[in-house]
Amino acid sequence: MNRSRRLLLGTLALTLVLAACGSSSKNGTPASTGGSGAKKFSGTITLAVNPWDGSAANANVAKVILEKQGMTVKLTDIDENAVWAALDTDTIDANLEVWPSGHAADIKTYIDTKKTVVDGGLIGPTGHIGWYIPKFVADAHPEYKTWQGLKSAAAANYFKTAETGSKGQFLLGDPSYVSYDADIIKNLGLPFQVVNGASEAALITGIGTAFKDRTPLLFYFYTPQWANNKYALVSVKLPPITATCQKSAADQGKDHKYACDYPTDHLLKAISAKLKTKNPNAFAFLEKMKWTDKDQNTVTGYKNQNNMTIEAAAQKWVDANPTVWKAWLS
Amino acid sequence: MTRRPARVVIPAVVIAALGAILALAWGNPIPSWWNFHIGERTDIIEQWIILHRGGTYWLFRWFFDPVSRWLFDLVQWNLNVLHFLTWPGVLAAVVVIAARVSGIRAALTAGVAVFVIGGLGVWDPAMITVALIMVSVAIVIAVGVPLGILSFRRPAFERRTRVLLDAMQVTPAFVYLLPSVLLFNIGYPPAVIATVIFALPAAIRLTLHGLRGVPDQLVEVGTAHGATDRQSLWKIELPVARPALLLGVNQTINLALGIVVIAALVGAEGLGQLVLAGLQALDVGLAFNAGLAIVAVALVFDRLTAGRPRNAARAFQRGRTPERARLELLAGIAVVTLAVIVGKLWSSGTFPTSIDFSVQDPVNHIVTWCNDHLRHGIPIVGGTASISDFTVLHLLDPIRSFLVDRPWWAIVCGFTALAWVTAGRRVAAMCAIALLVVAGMHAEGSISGSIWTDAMDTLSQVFVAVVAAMAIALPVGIVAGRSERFFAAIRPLLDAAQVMPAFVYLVPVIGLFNIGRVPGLIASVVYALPPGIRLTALGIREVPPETIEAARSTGATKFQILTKVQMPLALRSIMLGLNQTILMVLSVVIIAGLVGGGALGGDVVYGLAKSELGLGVEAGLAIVALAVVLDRMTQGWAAGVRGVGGRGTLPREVRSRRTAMLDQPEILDQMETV
Repeated sequence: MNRSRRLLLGTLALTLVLAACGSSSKNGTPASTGGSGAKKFSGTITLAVNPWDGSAANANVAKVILEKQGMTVKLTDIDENAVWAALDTDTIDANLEVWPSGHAADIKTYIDTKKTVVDGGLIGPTGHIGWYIPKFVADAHPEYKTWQGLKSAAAANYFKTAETGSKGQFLLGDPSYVSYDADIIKNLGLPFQVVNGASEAALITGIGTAFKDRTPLLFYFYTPQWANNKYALVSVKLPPITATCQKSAADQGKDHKYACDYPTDHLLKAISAKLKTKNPNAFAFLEKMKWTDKDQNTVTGYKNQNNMTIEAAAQKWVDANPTVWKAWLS
Repeated sequence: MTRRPARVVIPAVVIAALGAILALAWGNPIPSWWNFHIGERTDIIEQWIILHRGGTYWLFRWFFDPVSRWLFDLVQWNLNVLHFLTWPGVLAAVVVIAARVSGIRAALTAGVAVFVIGGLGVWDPAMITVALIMVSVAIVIAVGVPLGILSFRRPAFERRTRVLLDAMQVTPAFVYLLPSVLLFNIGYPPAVIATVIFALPAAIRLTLHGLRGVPDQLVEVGTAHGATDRQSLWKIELPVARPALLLGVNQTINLALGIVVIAALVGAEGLGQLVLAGLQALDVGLAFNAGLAIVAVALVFDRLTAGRPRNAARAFQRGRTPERARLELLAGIAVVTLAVIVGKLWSSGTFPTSIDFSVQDPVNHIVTWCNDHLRHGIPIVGGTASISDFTVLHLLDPIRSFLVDRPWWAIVCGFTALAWVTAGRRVAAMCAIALLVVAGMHAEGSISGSIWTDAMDTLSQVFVAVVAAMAIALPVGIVAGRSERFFAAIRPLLDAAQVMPAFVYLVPVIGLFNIGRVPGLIASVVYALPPGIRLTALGIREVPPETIEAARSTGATKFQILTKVQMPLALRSIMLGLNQTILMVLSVVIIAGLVGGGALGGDVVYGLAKSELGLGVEAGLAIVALAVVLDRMTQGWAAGVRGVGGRGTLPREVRSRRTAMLDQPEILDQMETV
């Protein structure tokens, strides 16, 4: 009895002490070479991977290219909100795909006020949020392709579910994405009710079920997203953006006056400010890195259609498109 | 149940007075001045932290930053050790230690489980998870045991910290995991911190419980022989309480494993990350594979810390000489060393990919089949889709409307009255306070526009889930209580259901049932079933055979014995099961929020996703308040019920939400033997 107690305590103490020793030996990051004319890439940087394919494609392409130049690039999977705290303390050096519409508060806090994170410019691809219906619904009821068509009792009846009772269901997904849907519905006078799927997984499962059962569904969705390749979706036309909506959007829709289509999201890069001094060449590379929707879709397409790993997909794109990325190195 | 008039009159008068004050002076809806501004205050604190962190401010420079670095190094160091051992070394070490601590059979089981982890193809992530768990558990024990001793020595300390410990156990980890990123950076440190917060109460309470169980005579004998306080503690009380302390370790590990999945949200790698990746890509097989590995890890740790059954331990101690012990130790070291050498030589210690029993593809096939065949076209019941609609229209909606349409003061009074009847004055007071706290939450942006309404929505979901869980648990538990073979057959399933992360079965559940409140309901029923079944079976089993024999001799039929003898006597244990079921359901309310359950769970998810920490915190506190109300009510109710299985009032140590088997260790012992 005594023995095993001592053993337990001993192991415990040993673990704690040894780790304390370990902590005193600093694992220093390799020093940067500094700006010496010709661009030399060395050292280690860490890039964030948010849990969607586009983000993984950006990060992996950057990794492949920089490692070709002799750098070490670590990738960290992390939630898109938690990543800001990591950029703040340069635990992560850059996040290459930020959807600004969902992060106005973070941008204000970290980029404008605290200045520990810098706006690294656009990554190229654009995001677009909107309302969608399955193609089979659009074919059967072309009137539901516009918001005016949805403004009828017939539409409510057509899209209703047990959860929404007499109203039509509007299905919403990931809560961290910007959403004015409740306001749009109210301000346009549509007989619909928002059901919060509350995660992207729930939303896509819901879409899958609709396609399997051939049941109607009106939902919030966006491009780029891999499910666009799997399911034939048709976007619903909402009123064009007005000054009122722009004003409302600037305030994250807090005035509840939004009643238009969603603005296009120009996806941007957020880079830790410290990287500029720590590794200026890597910083310059990340700032210059810019490609297109088509490029990104090519990489994610390799992954989803050819069943490649995202690393291999990135490698394949890099091999095929040297002219695009050579410019980022100069 | 005859009551003296005073026992009815006083509560009636007090509650009527409360109702009158709230209804007439405060009115309906909840007046806006009744507002604790918790949300706004949280947001202010958050802003302050964001602006000061990472800089030279002393709190961060001299406390949070070094602590985070230290935690990171601890995990990394453990991980390095595991890597150094290579997989054969880990396997050998597990088998040797399990054989020493828990016997040969346990060692075999643990060895197989280690092998399974490798075979599932997740060796590297599993080792990260193991390293995280080792560090978290070491810290929990290093902090929890002394605090447990302190609580034992200073009852006032114990009384003051009680509510805090309750809150630590019931507050959804989501609420403090993401904010802890601000203090402890990302990755391992916040994961460890969140795990420690979650698991610490169990360690403190089991230590306290173990010390309380030490017979007074033993301590007195010590004192009579001139033992000092310290000697008494180290030589008598702690050794005698050892089984309870080991149980504490065991439970801490299970709790830690429960949180490992959501730690992946803040960049802690490991098995949790695979589960989340599976969820993201709707690859149920991937998530299930990783979930199975978590179950295997839990099994390994369980066998490492279970200890021997009492009789075996005694026999083992008797046949033991110091020479033999030394020999065993040397043999153990030799085996592990040999295994490490083999590991280093053989494919540099990575688990051979040729051994592969990944279940990813088969699971995906099963899920597809279920989606294709179970949603529609089953005779009579129709299919999961129509079951889902029926549940919404005929169960959830009416109950929610009932709760939401009542004025808020009527709900407060109703629950207070109910608490008074079932559990007495003190619980009634606590209940009233807790509900008034919920009423004082007014964070903006909640799903229905008011935290109170969302709380009522949550309550309706909890009610349906608990009824459904008990409706399944009772018959299954009764059968399990009467048939040893059946219980033995379902035990592994019950264990797995408790450790398997709920995220794993969420996706198939959303596919089968429609998005909305039902998938969350199903997930919480699955999660909450094991304690209900276990405690029902235990209660039935606990009925003395003589009693049954006596009933039989008077000519009672089997059915009569069950309904007239076994069930009534098992009632207290069943009530305990109900209490645990309710708490388990409340603890997965957040998860339900992730699949369209809305209500308070949805508020927490939305608040954190939209960086509105205030909303998340208020909704989290509302969940805690509901948990306190329901917990105290059912506990008081259970305490008033006669029966076997659980002596005296329900032990305070019970209140672990995750581990329903965390009852009095005696109960646990009995459950281990059944």
